[in-house]
Amino acid sequence: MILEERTSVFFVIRRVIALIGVLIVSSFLVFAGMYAAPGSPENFLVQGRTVTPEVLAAIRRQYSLDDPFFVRYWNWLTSVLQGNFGQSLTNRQDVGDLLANRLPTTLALVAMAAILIIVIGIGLGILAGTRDGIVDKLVLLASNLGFAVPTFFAALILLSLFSVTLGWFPVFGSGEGFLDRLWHLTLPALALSLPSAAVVARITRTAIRDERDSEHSIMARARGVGRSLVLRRHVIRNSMLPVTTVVGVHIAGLIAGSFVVEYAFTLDGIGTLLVNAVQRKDFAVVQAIAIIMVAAFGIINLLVDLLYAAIDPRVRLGVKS
Amino acid sequence: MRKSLLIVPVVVALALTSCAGSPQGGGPALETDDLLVTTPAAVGDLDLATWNLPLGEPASLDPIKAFNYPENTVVANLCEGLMQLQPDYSIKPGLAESVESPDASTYIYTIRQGVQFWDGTEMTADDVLFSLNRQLDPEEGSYWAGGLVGNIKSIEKTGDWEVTVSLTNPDATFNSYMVTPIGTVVQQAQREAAGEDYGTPTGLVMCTGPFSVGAWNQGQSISLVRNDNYWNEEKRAKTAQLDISFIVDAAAISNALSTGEIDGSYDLPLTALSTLDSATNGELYLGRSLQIVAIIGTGNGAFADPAVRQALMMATDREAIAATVFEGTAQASRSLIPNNGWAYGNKVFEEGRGTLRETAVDIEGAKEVLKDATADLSQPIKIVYPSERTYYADIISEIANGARAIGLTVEPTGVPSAQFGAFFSDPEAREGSDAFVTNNYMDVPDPLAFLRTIIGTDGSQNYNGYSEPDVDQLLLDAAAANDEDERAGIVNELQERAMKDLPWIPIVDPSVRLFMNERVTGVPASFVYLYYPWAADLGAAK
Repeated sequence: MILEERTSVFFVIRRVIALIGVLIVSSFLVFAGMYAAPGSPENFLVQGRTVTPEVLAAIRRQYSLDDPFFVRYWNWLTSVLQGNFGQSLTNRQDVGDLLANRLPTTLALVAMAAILIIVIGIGLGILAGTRDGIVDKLVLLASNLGFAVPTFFAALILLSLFSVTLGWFPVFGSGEGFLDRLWHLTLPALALSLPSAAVVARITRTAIRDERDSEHSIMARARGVGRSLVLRRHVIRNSMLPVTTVVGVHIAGLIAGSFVVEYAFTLDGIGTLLVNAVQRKDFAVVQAIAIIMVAAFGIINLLVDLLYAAIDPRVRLGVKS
Repeated sequence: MRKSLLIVPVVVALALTSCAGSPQGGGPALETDDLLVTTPAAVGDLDLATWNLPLGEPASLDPIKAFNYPENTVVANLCEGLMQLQPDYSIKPGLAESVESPDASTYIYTIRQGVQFWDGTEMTADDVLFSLNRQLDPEEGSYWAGGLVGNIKSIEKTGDWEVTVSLTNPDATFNSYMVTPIGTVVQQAQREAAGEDYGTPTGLVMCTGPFSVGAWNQGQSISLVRNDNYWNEEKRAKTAQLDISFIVDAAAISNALSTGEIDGSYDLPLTALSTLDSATNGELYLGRSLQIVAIIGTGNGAFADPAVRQALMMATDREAIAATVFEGTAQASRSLIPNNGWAYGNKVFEEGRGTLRETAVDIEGAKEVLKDATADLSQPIKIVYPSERTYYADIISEIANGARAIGLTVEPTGVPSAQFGAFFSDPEAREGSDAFVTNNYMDVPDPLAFLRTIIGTDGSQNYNGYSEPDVDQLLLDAAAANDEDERAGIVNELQERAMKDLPWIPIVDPSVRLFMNERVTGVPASFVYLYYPWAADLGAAK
């Protein structure tokens, strides 16, 4: 009986439980980090202007900022398990509402960038991998440029050229409505995807070339199998394994990297929310966003593993390769 | 081969991005002698206009928590006070029809009738009573508590349409504060219903102003929509909807204004000035202001010696700071009171200012003054600034230049903005440094109210324990003086004393920096946009 271990329900459940464990540990570390950092939240609320000590004390009371560390952590944990993420210190809003408002922009941005990475990265990689000559050299040059130019820089160049000078795209904001949002997020998604797309293109190219030169595809060609069939079934499909890993890792990293682009394009995503919340020691918001990021990372990795199993029958069947 | 191919596009890219920025220092020559009070009046209505708050998103719309630029700039258009500040700094009746003050401790307000909140209900004296009393309620936690509010003995409804405020000590400045959120009226019923959500996007507020709140997209923008039932027909808003964004990045602000995506903004970042001054789609306006940039002593180190402070002030080229760091949009400060920061006793204040030392650099004079110093002059003087705001570093470097010329050492010390905020409320935060910077402003155009916070023994902005009994007595005398010229005279004495003891070193008086697209006009150019409903004046330029 061959074990279909990788895709069994137990596999998924075990991974989810492990993820929950990681979430708890990381939330504790984030909480401890915020606690240890200098400064106190109520001072940032009234930055640069003086209020009476009584007002500051009232704020501390309202948010239980004087309770001991473990008490506060425990209170936070128990309310999260009941679905209440607490209140933002900065503007007294429910953290759940705050995130619900800001998350769509980041998700849309990451999704668009992910699509661009897959289409541009894998597409160019296949192009370079299957052709020699000028096309290959151009793709190599482009990918060198892609990872040499940092995201923030790419964002500024795109902004300056296409928004300010040419006026084809808006200068700031994330727009309203599906099409408007797509238009607003085009340049940011492009800027965000460039370094990752460059890496993916290189890895894909290398993987394709390895497969092209591998024994089984040479054999298939020698036996007279058509070129495009060999390409599809043997070369491209086999090279997808390393490519999937790289794409997965980069997409998972997009969420964390999105804040740079959000800042450059003044987008209302959770990246800029996180930066502001950390500076102002807005505990509840930082905790919530940290959880989301860790969870997103874990889920994407899980999906990549499942995708692995779908692509590679050897993995599914648990046979050693 | 590939590496050298890389250099060309990177260099081109660098060149492109530098076009978006602006050259450092030596900006365009701007005249500050004729600072504006108003901009050309609007000639028509607008359906939609866009604005920006360079200092960030308001944290709350609750007037008692509106204590800083973003909140006040928005709330000024939504909620109103018993009195209203005008662009020329005069104070007119607002939600109060009139005020009587038999003595400087008693203020009797006759409440205006026929004023409606946005939901159509009528404003009553009970709403006024409730709103004023919120300042005194510790549970409400008003940021305006203390100081002036601490001097209120009682607030009572003394008639169907009459509210009387009694003060513990006489204070002739009290009525002018009714233009600030201390005197703002909100609807009692909605405040009680909204509970903890009050002022947030879910709870909002209920006020009487020329605009109400439309949509509030957290992190992106807030929309103000015209109140068509506004009680004051003459001041009805000319724009049906105003969308206000929260872009804080200087380059992004510059881009948004110069491409016309945003119609206008106050508080322009200094680095955006030269781009905007040469913009072809709009105009940069400089207005009369109540702001001042100063160095506040913490009471530590050599800076605690008044002779050292006086010498440093004389040795620093403040006129150069105004010309370069502020690109000519500021004036070197002759006093701790910003120039023209008054709405009464004009002649008296002008004369008094004229007797103060001039602002030109005086190295020899500074060395003379330094001879009287008793502190240890070999210790470096640490002046702290928020590291994200690099223009402060430039200012402190200039001070360091002056210091070097007279044998002192000044060290600019940057701390993250988030920590810098603590300097204004936490004495412990101030411990390790000798001084810190401030970009400060007068709440009301009354020099007494401002000086009091700095040189009064319990002044809210007295961060170095300055305490002189005769100064405190003069402050009380000034507050009790009903005659305006008499009060101005006493304040002049206080000003002279303040410039002698110099608990803060005043550096420059910035002007209001306003940009408007050629499509819109009308808002005041003077520093009243924190309390005057500026957006109601915004309309079509052609």
